[in-house]
Amino acid sequence: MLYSINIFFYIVSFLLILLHFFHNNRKLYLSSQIAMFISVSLNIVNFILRWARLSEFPSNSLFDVLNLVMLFLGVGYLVMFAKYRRPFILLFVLPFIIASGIGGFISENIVYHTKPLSTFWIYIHLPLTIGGTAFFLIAALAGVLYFLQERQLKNKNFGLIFKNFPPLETINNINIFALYTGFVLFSGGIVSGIIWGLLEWNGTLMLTSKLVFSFITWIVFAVIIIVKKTKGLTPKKTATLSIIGILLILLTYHGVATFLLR
Amino acid sequence: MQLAVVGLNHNTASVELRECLAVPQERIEQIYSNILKNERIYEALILSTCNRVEYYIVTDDFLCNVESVLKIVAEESKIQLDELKNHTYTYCGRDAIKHLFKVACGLDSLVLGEPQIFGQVKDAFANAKIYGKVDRFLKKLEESTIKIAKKVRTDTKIAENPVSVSYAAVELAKKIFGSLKNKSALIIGAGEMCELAAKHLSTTDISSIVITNRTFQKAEALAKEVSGVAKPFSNINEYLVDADIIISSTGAPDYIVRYDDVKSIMQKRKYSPMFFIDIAVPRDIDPKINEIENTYVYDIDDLKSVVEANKKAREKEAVKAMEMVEEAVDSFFDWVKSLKIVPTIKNLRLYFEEIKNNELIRLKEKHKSMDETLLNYALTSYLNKVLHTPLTNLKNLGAGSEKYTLAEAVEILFNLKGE
Repeated sequence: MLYSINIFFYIVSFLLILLHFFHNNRKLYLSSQIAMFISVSLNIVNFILRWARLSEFPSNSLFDVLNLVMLFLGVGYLVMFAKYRRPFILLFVLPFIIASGIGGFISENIVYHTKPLSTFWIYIHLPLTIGGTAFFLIAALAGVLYFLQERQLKNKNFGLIFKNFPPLETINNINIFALYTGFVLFSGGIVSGIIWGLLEWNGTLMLTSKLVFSFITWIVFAVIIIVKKTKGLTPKKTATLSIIGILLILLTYHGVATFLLR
Repeated sequence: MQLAVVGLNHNTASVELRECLAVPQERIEQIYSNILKNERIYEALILSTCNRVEYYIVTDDFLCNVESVLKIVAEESKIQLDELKNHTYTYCGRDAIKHLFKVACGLDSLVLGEPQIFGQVKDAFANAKIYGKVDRFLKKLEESTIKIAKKVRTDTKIAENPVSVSYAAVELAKKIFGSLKNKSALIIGAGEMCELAAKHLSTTDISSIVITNRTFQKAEALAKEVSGVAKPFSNINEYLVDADIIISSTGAPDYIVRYDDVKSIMQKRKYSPMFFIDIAVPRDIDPKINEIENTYVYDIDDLKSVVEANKKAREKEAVKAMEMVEEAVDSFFDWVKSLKIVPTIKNLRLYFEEIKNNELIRLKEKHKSMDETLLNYALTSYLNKVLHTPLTNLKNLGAGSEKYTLAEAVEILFNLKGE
């Protein structure tokens, strides 16, 4: 029930921000942010209650993973909003949050592990990996935002997108901040995953598809950041690579899901 | 008591005439004093800006008293009264209130929605309090004027979109860079358009403005005005490397900024964005530069189309603003009308109070042992309850112009209908 209310609030927030996009009304804008804040709070409460009910960290089903994705995307947005005050990122983030929520509904019965993962490393590995992914997704969405706004400026279209979307440099800053935050979190997730793996497999690291894909993703993002820091990468290229990076992550998750479900 | 306004503005008078009528600060006290010599002018307010000179008076006979104000203005400006009348407008009552609200909201301005006028109206009220006379009417008017002007500014987008080419250019720059802090501008040319753009830029938080011009002295003069730096014209490409915003308006027959040069400059800048604003005809900046990644080139036609679109957007918002103004006028006029009813309410209350007091004295004489405080309390409480409905109805409906028979009026006053 609480889960449904949670998704309902996310949908309300999306509709309000969509209306605000077309009508540019301050009340709609404030309402959408309030609805979003309520949604994220409900998401946290929902997560804690499930944790208490299961008596273990909720991670053994696709439902739990998607719930966590939803939560981190919501928190990620609130962090970005607190820093940049640009509400229209919501227009791009919320469809993913809602899709994760609905995905959770559909996949409620898909279970990864029959026995609970009681290891301490799950508390570190899973939140860091999913948190990192959420920020990478926000970086990619900022990349899409950048392409759209850049087109408006180049083609001199002064429509709704031009008026409502943030300035190019702000979008670029959002992209970079989300990229760096995502990278730090994801790196933590990878390292904790390796340690966990070494402990589980008695000191030998098995080259599973999960590990290989995760490494590829991590290396892609590491290359983007290193090149940007050293040689300088145009905002457009950074945006493009962010999008490619998130597509790779989705591929990894697909690989992980396939691997774990076998 | 009514508000009347007599004045002229950019629509009715030339700039020469407006100059003659502008009220200098050193004369303001004397002019107020002359106006208020008329005993039937109870309060006065003078609004004098570069686009308008208006005299607002609170009076009970606006026709005669507006004439007296006009005579003072004619004497002060040494302009014939008949000549002056040809250029002035007069509004009274509701129309005068509406006019002031429109002025304060920028709806009567040369540039629709311009924000400076609001500050000028506030200053005019402040001056009227010092040199003129501001009583209950103008105090309430000031409060309502500030309220509606703020409401229009926050609830509509009338002042959001720039309607001058140079301002539009600066706003476009903000759409690329966000804040202009830590950004540098290069102004090529020192003509009127460049001057306007440079002045607009200097009001932002831009970190540096470099001005270059074929005649170096002109560049120096403009640089001095906008706290910029003047540099020789021959080394433009060197300055381009550090410039984020480039505004050009020269009389050169060919391009001054070329595609190949910018392409190599962009590599040196690590593709950090560059915004070119070309307000010259023929153009100074090669439009092909727009094809280079992270460069944006806007010419005069692009900027004009931005301005035209913004003007239309402002006109659309002005319709919304006018609806708000009408509501505010209604609300203010209700207050004005309620002023008429205040003496009646006071007298009615006094009449009943007198009866109550007489009755108290009579009873006290008759029953000496009676608890006077208790009786006073009971009678006062009774009186308040009896008078509550008629006084409320009188306050809300008493100033209306509807005609009723006496019986109908009593029914309305005491809410007797249907009982």
